[in-house]
Amino acid sequence: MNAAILERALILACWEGDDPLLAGFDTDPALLDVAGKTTAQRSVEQAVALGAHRIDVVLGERAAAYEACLGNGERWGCAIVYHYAAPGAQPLRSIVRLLAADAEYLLLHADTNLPAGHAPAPDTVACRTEDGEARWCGWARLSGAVLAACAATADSRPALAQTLFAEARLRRDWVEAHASAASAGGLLGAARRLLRAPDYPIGIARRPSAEGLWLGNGVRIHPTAKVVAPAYIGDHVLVGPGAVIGPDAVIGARSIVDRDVAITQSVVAPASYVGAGVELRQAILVGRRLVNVALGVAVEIADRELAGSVAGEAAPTRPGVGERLLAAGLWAVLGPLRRAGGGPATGTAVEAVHAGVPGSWARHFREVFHPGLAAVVRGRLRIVGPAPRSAAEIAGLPDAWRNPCLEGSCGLINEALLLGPDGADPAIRYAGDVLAAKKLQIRHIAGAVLRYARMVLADVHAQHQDRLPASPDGHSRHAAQEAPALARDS
Amino acid sequence: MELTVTEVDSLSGTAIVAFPVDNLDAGNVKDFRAAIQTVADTHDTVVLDMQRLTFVDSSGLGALLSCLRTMKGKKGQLLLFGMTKPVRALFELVRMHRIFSIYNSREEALAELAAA
Repeated sequence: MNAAILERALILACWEGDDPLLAGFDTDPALLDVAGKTTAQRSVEQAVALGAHRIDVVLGERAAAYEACLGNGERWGCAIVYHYAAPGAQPLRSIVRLLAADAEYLLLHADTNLPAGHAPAPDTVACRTEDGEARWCGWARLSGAVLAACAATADSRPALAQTLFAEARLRRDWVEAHASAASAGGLLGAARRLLRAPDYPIGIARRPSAEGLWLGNGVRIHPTAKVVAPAYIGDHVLVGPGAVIGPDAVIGARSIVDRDVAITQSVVAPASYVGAGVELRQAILVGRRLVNVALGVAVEIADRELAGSVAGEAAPTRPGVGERLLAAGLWAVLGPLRRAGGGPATGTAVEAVHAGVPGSWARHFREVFHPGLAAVVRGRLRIVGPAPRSAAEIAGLPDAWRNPCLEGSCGLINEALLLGPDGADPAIRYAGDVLAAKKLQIRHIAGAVLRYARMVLADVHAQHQDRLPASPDGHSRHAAQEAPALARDS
Repeated sequence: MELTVTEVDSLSGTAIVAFPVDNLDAGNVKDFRAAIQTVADTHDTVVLDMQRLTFVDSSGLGALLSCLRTMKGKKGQLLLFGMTKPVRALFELVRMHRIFSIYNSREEALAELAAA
C-alpha cells in the first residue's frame, strides 16, 4: 500500500469533544462555520485531497445537521454514505461489517483537520504529547482489517484512541499542531492558524482581499471602523461605526457588529448580533452563548442588546405543492380501501404493524393513512415524515431523536414503518425518523406510497382469503398467509 | 433586599456589602438600588462582595454603574471582589472591568484601601 491508493475514508461524527465549554451550543462544534466552512467540511475536503472517493460518515446525535452540512458529496466529487447509530448504541457496530478488509482507510474525526499539507503515512496513528502523555490527534491511516479490529469494541472516543495505540500493526505519527474543534481553545487555535497560514482551497472559503484580510460579498464596513489583519469577515456582514475587528477575528456571514465593538482573537458564528460597545477577546460567540476561553467559562447572554442571533427560528418542513396534490389524488383514489377490515384494535396502528399483527396494515390505512391525507392536503402533515407522536412522547425522547421530530413535520409513513416487524428495532425507527425529517423529492414519496400500497393490498387480500371457507386441503388459507411475506420481500 | 453590611474597624467609613441573592437582574434590581443607596449615603467606601452572585443582566450592570457614579460623585470609592467567572465574563464583555476596581479577594481589596 502506498500514499496514492488511499480511496476510502471513515469520518466519525458520532462523538463530540468533551469540553464542557462547548456543551451548551445548539450545534456540534464541528458544524460551526469558521471562515466560511465547517471543520466537518474541511475534513471531507482533506480526505478527498488524499484520494478518497468514498467517505463513510458515522453519525450520532446530530445526524440531520451533518447531512445538511455535507450533502451527498457531489460538490467534492466523492460519495458520502451515512451510517446512523441510535442513541446509546455502539456507533461503530454497524460499520465494522461494511469495511473492505484489503482497502486502505483514512480514519478522521469530523471535528479534526490534519495540518496543512500533511499526508499521513500508511499504517500510522497520529498523536501528540500533552502533559507528558501521548494523545490521539483524531486521525489514522490504516487497512480495513485493522480498522475493523479497532472499531469493533470501541464505544467512545477515548476507547477508540486506546485501541488504536494498542494496535501493534500501527506506528505512531507524531504531530506538533493540528486544527480541532473538540475544545474551545482548539477551535480558536484552528481559526488563528487558518487566518495566518491559509491553505486555499481547503482553508478559508475565499481568496484574501488584502494581505491577511478576507472580506465576503456584500460586506459593509463603516468608514470609522477599523479592520486589523489577519481577519475574516463573512458575506453580508455589517460593521458599525468605531468598531475594531482583528487581529485574529472571524466574523460569520450575515452577522451584525454594532458600533464601538472590539473583536480580537475570537470567532463569531454566522448570523450573530454583537451589541454596541461589546468587547470580545479570546471568545466564541454562537447566538447568545458566549464562551470566554481566557476565563474558561461559558455564559448565556440574557440581554438581546448585548448579543444574540439575527436568524429566525427554523420552520418545520412542510409538504410541497406536489406532495399535497399527490395526497389529494390518493385520498380520492384510495377511498374504497377504507372499507377494508383491520386487525384487533390493541395498541396503536403503528405498534400493530411493528408487531406483525394480521390486518394491521389495513388498520393503519383506515385509521392513520387515509384520514391523514386530508391533513397533508391542508399542509399540516407530510406523507413521508417522522412518526407522529404526542408532545409528551417527544419530550421523553433522547435529544438526538427529539430534534428530527421537531424539525420536520410528522408524516403518515416512513422507512421504519414500511419495514413492518423488522422496523420495530429502536435503531431502525430512529434512522427512519432522521431520514424522513429531510425534505424528500416527490419521486421518493411516490415510491414510499407505492410500497405502502402493496403492503396494504397484500394485507387486505390475506384477510379476504382468511374469511373464505377453507378448502379440504387448506390451500386458500395457506396462500393468504404467504401474501404479506411476498409483498415484503418484493 | 436585605444586604449584609459589615463595618471595617480598621478603615473608618468603609463597609463590606455582601449580596444575599445569586442573581442581580430586572426582578430585584429596584430593591438593590434602594438598599445600596442607603449604604452609599452613610459610607465613604463601599466594598461589594460578589462571591455569591452568579448572574447579572444589563439592568444589574446599570445598577452597579449607578452605584459607582454615586460614590464617585461624593468622592468616595466602590470596590468589587470575589467575582465569579460568569459575572467576570459579562463584565469583560461590556468592558466594565476597566471602569470598576476589581480584586480577587476581600484581603486584596482591603490591602489596597489601607495602602491608599
